[in-house]
Amino acid sequence: MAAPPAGSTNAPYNYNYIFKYIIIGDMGVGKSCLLHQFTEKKFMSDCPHTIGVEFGTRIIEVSGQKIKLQIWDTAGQERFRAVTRSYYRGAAGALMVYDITRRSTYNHLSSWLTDAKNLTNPNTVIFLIGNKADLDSQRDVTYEEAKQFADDNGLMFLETSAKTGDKVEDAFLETARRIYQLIQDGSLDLNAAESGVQHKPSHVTRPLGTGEQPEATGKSCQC
Amino acid sequence: MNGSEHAVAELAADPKSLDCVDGSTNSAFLQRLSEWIQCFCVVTFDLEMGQSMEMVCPEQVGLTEQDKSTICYLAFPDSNAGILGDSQFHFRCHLEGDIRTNSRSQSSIDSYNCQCAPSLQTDQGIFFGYVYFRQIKDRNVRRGYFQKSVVLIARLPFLNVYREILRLVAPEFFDNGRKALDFACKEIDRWAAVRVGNPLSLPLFGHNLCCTIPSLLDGALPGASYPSNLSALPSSTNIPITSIHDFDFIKSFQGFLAHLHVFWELMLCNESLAVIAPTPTACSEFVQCLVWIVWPLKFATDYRPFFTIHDGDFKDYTTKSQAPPRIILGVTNPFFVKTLQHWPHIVKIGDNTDTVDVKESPKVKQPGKLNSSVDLKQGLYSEYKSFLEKDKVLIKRLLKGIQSKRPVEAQSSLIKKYYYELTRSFMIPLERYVSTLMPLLRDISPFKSPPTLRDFDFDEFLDTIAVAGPSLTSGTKGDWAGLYMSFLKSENFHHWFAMKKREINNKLKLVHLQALAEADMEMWMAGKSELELIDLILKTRNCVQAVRMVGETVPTEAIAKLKRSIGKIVDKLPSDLKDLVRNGSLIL
Repeated sequence: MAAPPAGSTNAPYNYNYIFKYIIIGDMGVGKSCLLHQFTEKKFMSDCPHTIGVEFGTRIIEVSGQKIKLQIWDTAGQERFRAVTRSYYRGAAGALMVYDITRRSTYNHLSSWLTDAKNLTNPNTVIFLIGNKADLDSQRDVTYEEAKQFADDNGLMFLETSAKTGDKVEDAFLETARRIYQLIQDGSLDLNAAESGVQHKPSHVTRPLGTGEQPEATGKSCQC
Repeated sequence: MNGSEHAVAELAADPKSLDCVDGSTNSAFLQRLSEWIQCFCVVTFDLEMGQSMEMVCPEQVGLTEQDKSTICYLAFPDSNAGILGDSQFHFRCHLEGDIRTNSRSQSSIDSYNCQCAPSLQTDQGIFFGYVYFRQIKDRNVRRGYFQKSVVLIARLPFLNVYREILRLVAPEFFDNGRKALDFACKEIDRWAAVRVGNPLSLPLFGHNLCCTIPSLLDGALPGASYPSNLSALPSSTNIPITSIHDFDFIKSFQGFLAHLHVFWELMLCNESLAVIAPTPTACSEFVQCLVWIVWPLKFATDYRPFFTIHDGDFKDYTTKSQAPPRIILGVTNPFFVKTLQHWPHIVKIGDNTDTVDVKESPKVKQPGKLNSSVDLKQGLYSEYKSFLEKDKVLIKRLLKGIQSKRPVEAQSSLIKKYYYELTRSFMIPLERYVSTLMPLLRDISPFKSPPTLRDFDFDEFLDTIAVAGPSLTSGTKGDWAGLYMSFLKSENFHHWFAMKKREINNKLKLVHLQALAEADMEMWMAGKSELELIDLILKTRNCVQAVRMVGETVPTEAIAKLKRSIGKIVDKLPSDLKDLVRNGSLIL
């Protein structure tokens, strides 16, 4: 779901759109660390298991438009799969993460992908991320193999390191660029529905607010 | 020493103090001590090795070998000045070891820096070294001289407090050795916390050091905040410290009365200046006086009250291939006369200021006259053309005061007052202009971003000077606009404005949050999408966090209202999402 900001039409918001992202993948692949690295530019060395859902936000700029990413991060454990319907609903971007040092997390991708395809709308941009690229010596999944999987399923793909920050920005930003492109193409119709019905963007387009400078880090108040 | 000779012996006889003499340097021990001082170092002159570190107390303060070497070279005079007896001076340096983090927690440093007069703020990684140097004839030592320094390392610029501490501790050390330092550390560790604004009584070796740390608010005249009841204190063991940081301006500036206004302009605009003096005491005091003349403004660039040829930065500061750095250097080695020839402003202090004829008002000398000869006459060597006119009335009064032997304190406070009023008159238009950059209260809308301070527009500001400039409050004449233009490019300005901006933006965040707490959520929520409802919850959470992070307290009432608002938003969410959000982190 991508929505222009609401409020009175002359409101000086510091963003023009909100994009909802979700991060999916097995337990321990580094979902929360990717989120934290992207919003805080820091690596969390011991990160507790996510319970329920966590959110992160950051304002980025694509083609001169300020876009606020509202990133949903949920637990990778099976027992939380029950909550996934509301989690997936209306996502404009889905980051699907596996751990390059643990083959099992890669093998489960097809089931994550099935969920993503079933529970999001056809225009949701799915980005495949091979995380922990800093641990190359323990690699269990080759780049080529994963790239092939991504190509076969029409996914974008990058290997990242939430620890060093390598390629993390690229993954989040590439996804946003692709979504913005879909809006420009008219494939993602912001006027489509009012109702907030699943798989459909829910809001009427309103005049875009005038943007202020995006904040450099997630630290300051990004309202 | 007013009966402090036996202080150590007395303390040793006190069983309560005995139990903590040894092994007393655990981390709890360091906690309070490190608010006041980092450590004592003893530096000795070894005939084979030169300067060497004899001991550090407490030992595990976290000095690297490089740090120790830095301290050693700054602990002794840089040239043979033939100083006999005891002398005191100070230096300022960067240290790289764990001492940077071992000392007071960052939050207590931050809170001190927020409350003290800006001039007294500490800087990350920068430490002061307060030196008590003893050089006396001693037949028992080879070459016949005893040469040793006790150095106190601290973050805070409380020069007079640390001087007094050393005056008590160093002689005890020379008599009784290490245990004097251990006792001193133990006593300081029991002191009150470093607290701004309240009179403090700090016991040491049977004396009480009585002082007050000037706060941001009474950042009025430097040294004006005396403990008011001082004279009423009956005990002769009290050592009143009327100003924790000030030196007698007249002592340093006596030979430079015609240049008082030039010094102020040079300091205000962070010009590069070197002070060449005969002794470490003279140069460190002079440099420190220079730094304080823009009080209460923070002097934002580096300064080194005592600097030697051994310093790691020596090459950078003396190379002629680049412009000198924007710093103030105090040096004693005559070698510097040669190596600093390309520096734009040099103050040379004569060998004996007392004999200088102060009636003669020396002209600013051309730097070209800085020839290779190391014998340089006292004076200010610079091509600088001052923007402002000198204050002839003040100079006349000071000269009269010298003739009539007016007390040094009275002379110094005349100079202090002059500088304070100059700085104040200069800053008032800036403060006033900044207040016009504030957003209006009616522009604060709960559902928009918190407003921020507008940018500083140089031209717009300079326009205000014509109508409401410093001439409203200062009798000093001259090209104020020219001086502002120079100041607006300086590090002092950038630092000052950055602080102002942060302070105001933090307050605005709080005001905005309170507006959000009062806002009518029901009305706002009508017809909003799921995405936007979540966004408002996140915004609210972020705003609360941002306000808390800058150290502002959000009123509990506002928090309660915000919690109720979030509850209303959550109620509006589809039921499956409601549970998901309630289990998550969206709690204030």
